[in-house]
Amino acid sequence: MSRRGLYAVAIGSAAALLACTPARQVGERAPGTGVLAVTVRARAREGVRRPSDYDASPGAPARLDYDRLDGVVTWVEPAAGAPSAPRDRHVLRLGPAGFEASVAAVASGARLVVENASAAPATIYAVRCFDAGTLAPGASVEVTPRGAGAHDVLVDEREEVRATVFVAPTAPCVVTRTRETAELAGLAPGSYTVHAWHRRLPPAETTVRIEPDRRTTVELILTVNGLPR
Amino acid sequence: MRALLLAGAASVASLFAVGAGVLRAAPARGAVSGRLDAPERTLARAGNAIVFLEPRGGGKAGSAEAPRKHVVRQRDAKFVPSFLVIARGDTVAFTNDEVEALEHNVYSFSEVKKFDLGLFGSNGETRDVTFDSAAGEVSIFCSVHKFMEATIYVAPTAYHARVDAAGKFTLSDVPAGEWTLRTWHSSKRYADEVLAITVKEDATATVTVPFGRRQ
Repeated sequence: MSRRGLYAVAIGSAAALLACTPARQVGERAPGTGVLAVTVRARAREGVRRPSDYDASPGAPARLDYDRLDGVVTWVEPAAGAPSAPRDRHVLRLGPAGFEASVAAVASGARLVVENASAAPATIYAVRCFDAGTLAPGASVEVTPRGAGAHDVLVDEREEVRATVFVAPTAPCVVTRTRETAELAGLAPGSYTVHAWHRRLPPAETTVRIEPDRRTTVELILTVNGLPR
Repeated sequence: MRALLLAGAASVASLFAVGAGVLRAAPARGAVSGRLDAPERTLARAGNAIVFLEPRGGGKAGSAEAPRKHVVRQRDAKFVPSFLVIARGDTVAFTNDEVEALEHNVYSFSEVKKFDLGLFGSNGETRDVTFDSAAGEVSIFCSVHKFMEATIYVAPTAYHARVDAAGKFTLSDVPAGEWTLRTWHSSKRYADEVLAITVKEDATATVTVPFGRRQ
């Protein structure tokens, strides 16, 4: 095998390993419960050329990279009557350069820790969702966001700073980027609907059955292909 | 002479609407003039702010006005304009106006209107979308280009207006009656407001809308 061929195999293996490595882990493993491994992918519209087919010269318009879309929210909805998973606390942190993540997810009824890690006071809120009030540098407060769906998070003192908080109707929920796998542990055996959301693409969902002491994998595809033409 | 006759016919049509063989008088009309009551800084941070009317008390949704056609161009991998307010029933022509060969794919998955126009090229190629199913905010994207985004707000009636930098707005030629006035703004920084108003024939209703609450 040529050196170039070896590199190609090595890069391919690394990419495959990266795609399969759980980057986000939610919940606690416990006997009698199951683990759901979710990977969300995004796909360009049918007929749209690959990004590499376009002009990549300096000044060319920036293209979407469907393999690296940040801010994908995944949540799991138990079948009617089934017990819901515990609601984890989530953190939304404002740093010196802005919010540390552009998207935070929290299940309806769960607590969100809003933290001001910047050097100046910050009034952090999302209209009709939560109001953390004015936080001194280093201070934090717990809020319970309301209203399922996406809300813009704003900072009164810094007009340019924004984030999105997504209130998922059920727990657990997690934020990933496309091609990243999240492991949701501690799910009671039974049927679930798995949902994925991204602000630029139509939502996707699928159903899955969780078995005790087993790991179940599922893949969701975000794409515009199903929209009316 | 022909132009005169046409103008005359148009005037008669504006005075009377023919329905089921009976001539009906055109509705009495008035106007609404107002302002958003907020400090200058609040108004500046509201982004694109609009007001619009919807019939109160279960009145007919939509409006008596004829649907209009608007144009949103794609130029330099941007939507121009990037914000547009239209009435329910209006049509938007999406025109690829790129100078160089550059395809765009215009789509929306907003609840108000879901569509995918497919890829289309430069040289002014146009595809139309009629926003007739519901009112509300519609986010528009291109599936190729990262920063191509636009917002269309579909107002329930043709009685809508942009709010100027001083917070002022005017709605003219509004049928007399009971209306609900609503605000909407793009920055989502404040709560949108709702106000009941009455429009009387040949009169201007003056309203002051409190604006700037966070919750």
